Amino acid sequence: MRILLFVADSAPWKCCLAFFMLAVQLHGFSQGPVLRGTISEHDKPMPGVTVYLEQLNIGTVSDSLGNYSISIPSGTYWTKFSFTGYKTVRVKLTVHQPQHFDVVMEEDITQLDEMVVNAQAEDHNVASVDMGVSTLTMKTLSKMPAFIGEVDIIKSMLLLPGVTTVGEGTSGINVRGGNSDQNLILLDGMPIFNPSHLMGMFSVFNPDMAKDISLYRGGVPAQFGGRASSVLDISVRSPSTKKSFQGGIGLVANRFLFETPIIKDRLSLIIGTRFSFSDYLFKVLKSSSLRNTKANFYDITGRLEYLKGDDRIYLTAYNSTDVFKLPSDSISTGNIPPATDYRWKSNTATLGWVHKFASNLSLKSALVYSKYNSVISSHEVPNDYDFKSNITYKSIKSDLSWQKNAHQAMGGIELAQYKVNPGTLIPLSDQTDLSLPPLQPEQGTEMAVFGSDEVRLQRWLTMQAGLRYSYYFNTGPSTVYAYTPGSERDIKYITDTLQYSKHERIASYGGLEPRLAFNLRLGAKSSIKIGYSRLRQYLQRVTNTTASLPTDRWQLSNTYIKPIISDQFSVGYFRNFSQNKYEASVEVYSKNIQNISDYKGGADLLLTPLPETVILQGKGKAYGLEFQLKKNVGRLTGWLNYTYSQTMILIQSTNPDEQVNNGKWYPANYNRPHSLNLVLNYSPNKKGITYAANFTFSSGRPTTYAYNRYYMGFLQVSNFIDRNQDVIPNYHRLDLSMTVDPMRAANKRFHGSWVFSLYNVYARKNAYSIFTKTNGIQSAIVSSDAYKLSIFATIIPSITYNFKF
Amino acid sequence: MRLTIFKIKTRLITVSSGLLMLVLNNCVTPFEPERRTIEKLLVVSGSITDGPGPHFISVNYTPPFSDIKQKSYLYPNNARVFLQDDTGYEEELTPTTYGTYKTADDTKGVPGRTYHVTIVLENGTRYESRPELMAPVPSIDTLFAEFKPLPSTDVPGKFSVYLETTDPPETSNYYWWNWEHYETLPYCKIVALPGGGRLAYPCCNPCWRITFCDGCFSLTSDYLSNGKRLRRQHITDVPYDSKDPYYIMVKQQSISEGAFKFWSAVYDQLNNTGGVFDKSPATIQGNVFNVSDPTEQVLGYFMAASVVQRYFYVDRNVDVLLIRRPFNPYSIAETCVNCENQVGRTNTMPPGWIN
Repeated sequence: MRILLFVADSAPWKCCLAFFMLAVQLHGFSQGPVLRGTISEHDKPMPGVTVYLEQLNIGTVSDSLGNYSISIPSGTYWTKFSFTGYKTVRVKLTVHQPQHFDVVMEEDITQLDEMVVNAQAEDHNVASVDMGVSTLTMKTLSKMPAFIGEVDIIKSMLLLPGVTTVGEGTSGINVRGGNSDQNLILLDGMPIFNPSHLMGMFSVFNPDMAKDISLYRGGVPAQFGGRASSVLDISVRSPSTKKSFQGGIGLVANRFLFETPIIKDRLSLIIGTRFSFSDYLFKVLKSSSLRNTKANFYDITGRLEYLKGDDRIYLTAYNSTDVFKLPSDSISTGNIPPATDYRWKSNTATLGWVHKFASNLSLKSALVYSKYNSVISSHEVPNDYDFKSNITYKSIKSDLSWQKNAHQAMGGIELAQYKVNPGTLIPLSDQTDLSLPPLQPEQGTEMAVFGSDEVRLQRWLTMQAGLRYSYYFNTGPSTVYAYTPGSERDIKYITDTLQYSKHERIASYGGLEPRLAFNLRLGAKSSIKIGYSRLRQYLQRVTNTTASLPTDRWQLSNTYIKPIISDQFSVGYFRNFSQNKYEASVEVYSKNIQNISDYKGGADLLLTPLPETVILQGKGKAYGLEFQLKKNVGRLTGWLNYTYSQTMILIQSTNPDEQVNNGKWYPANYNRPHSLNLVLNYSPNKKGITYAANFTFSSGRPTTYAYNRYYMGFLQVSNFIDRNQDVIPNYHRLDLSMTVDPMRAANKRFHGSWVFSLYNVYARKNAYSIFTKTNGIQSAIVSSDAYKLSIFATIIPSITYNFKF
Repeated sequence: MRLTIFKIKTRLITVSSGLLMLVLNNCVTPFEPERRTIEKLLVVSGSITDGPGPHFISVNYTPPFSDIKQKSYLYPNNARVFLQDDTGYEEELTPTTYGTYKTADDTKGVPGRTYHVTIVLENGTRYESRPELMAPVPSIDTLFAEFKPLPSTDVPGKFSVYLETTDPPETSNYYWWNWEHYETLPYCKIVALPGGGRLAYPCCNPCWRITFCDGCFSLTSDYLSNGKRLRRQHITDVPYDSKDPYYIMVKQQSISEGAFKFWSAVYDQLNNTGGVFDKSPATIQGNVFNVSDPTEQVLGYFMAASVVQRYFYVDRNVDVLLIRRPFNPYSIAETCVNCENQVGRTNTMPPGWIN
């Protein structure tokens, strides 16, 4: 709280000066009068609106407070204000001196012709300094074919270049060679530690509550930090000033959303919920033992917003809960005790305050709280227990943004605290035999100062210079073990035990994180962009399963576990064709990752009190080429992209037990060199029918095959030698959908639409994995062979009904 | 303080991957990947226990991958195998067949001592196992079974067999269980007749069929329950396909931490369903190494274990309908065939056998 007050009380100009020192001061290009104003929708500022001056072929985008400003030569121009899903405003403006022009935008429910993918200026692709950034609006997402009819924010990211997954039905994405825990997933600034419902089949974000989604694969802005690979920024919709109710009914989940003003033009509320009682999905199964499986989830997102003059205060709260329960006696193989259930829950809240000092200067501050809990329970006496773990995140962040002439500057501070409780085993009855001392909790603090300035140095050259300095330390109470220098880190070689008291600093890390980008304009239609960024990550998920589990353990950096540092260089050529109707880009990137983690073969991570004895850290390198062609306007829109990439890991040690693959480079689990996505959206007429198709291809991910086998008695054992030296078969899939969204009659409040979709149209049995099954059941008859596991091995149709009134 | 806890980890992983597989219309189809051909590797397996001898050590080479079903054992010729302990005792094992070596009949391990094996190939290459401590094992306190119905008409239920034992106060105890099932074998030879039907030759002497399963072991550490009674350790499931009592012999062994790691990895491999939540397959580290070239990969494990066993009759006379399938009768031969001791068959009456 102290920091927030400090920033608020002291003159903001001081902060301003501070970040001026960060931003490189250079001369701008010749200046004309400035056109500025505020863009709003029912008194609510609208960020991201494109302002475009047609004759000049230049434009800008409104900032987070709906403000825009642009320097232009004197004259009269047709000026266009546009935002996906809203009616475009086109006005003729005469500007000879600084001019103020405010715009009120209106939502356009049946807007189809102007369906654009990017809610940005038409030449944004070429003109902006953004690289490796994709923004999708919910309107785009809602028309894409969805698995079981559920629009899924995270799964849709897989259609963007440079984004892959280890397999369908799993949560998490891999962005430009990063592990899935290297993505910072933010919902209105609140970090989400587990983005999955139903063990990874769906992501936890209610699509109705999202406004837009940006994925930064490269060129991560300086205000973001703490993860080494990407930022997925999901913004929650602001409540509208009109009362409305909307919802959707689908096979898996039902959605409801309600928004209402509480005090007219001052206070308003939006609440969206999504819930599923998917038990019935299990009822249709032949296996009676699984028929009683319970798999329920819900999530609820609410945002309360208060507006007065130059202040906007909002409170966003979010809860996501999953219960996954197997009936007793569910799996008949002897070693799997029955009656186990899993529960996981995210509770997050943020309180934010945005204050506008002037139309071009604003301060945004937020308090953030995020807690993730997971529980594994067993109800089988005497092995009945709850195994509880959680992670708590608290932060305070404040940033000031300022716009003048050729500059767009921003600076701020962030302070975050993490508390990880890796697990406590709680007996459920007096009969319980199990006991385990609680695993040692971990505490860490991360501080950051950041600033950036986007400046037009020349008419043909724009620079975005950003710098972030982050500093991290972990604190007691804690016990740190010392190991014999040079020996394997193992319990056998512990030489000393160091006790740290509460708040005592144990280990610290930190450093600069430069974020630099240049745009070299090669004329009106094309540009070259160059970028470099460094990111540091102090918290990672510890798992050696292919896909992540909701119950995976999190690990803070400490004496032994070093933070992950990634450096990315990228160069891209961007070109638009036919009056910005088509956008094309080619980007190449190269990334070096320090302290990437892998694990000792077969190690168990969940319950170890000494994670440093199983975690190995080494080097990673990733490089790739991303090509994308997009069509943004017209009846047929969509994109085609192709990515070539490689991600390799090297874990070397003088100790053979602490090496992977004998200290040679090996591909990461998620290394899929070729991937191709085609997304098409066709609206033949104004009747409100949209057809959409996705095609996706990716080469198979690495796996480890056994090259020989041997006998232990009569038992056959496979010998797996080098990690990830083979690949599973390629993956490809086609999805189709049709949306029937009839035009809303002007006098009717009620509006309904249908989405029909087909997932995996040609029912390809895509390989999820190739595995070796050793059959040790009959002593004398032994067989062992490789098998292919497919998960969604058939066509999956679905239907969803959406309504709004 | 071994950190693997099967009770939690295995359950979590297998259940979730199993679920994902079963729920989502999955399918598992045979697949033949292209495999590289690699050089043969030496495999050493076997154990010394405090049970009666002889004890066996086998020294083999890995067969080519495609050849495993033929079990065409490859083994080094004229290797010499020695068993040593920490008191200076040394015994050279006698070769039997197919690369298997045996100790003297009266060799018996002593709990508390440390054992290792040395193998010298014909060309002089010397291999040694790391020393293995033979830890004492507590006795099996009790064995019991519980009936659980199954949704099948052929086998309408199963009997889960549980074991209980008392863990000593010291930490780092590791347990390994296995079982054998005995039943009387009335016919020692059955031949198919040219015109259809089968001819069965009765056994001349008492004979038992042994059903065993090397992949059906279970294991645990006392990490979560040190010094307490280990309760309800699941050993196996016995099918309810007959009302006759079911004889089972359960073997309990104390194993070393290294052996526990080895068998845990084997267990993971056996239970790998290829699911998303399975661990990536890993090389299973053995405890035998080439003395002059420690980088050479040697497979397998030499164990020293203290062993106790206990028999148990599962009473299968429960009040659940059992439909017996019609049985195709044999023609009985007039001559009998001798019951010899061999894999899966014995003429020695198992302990506690009730006729």
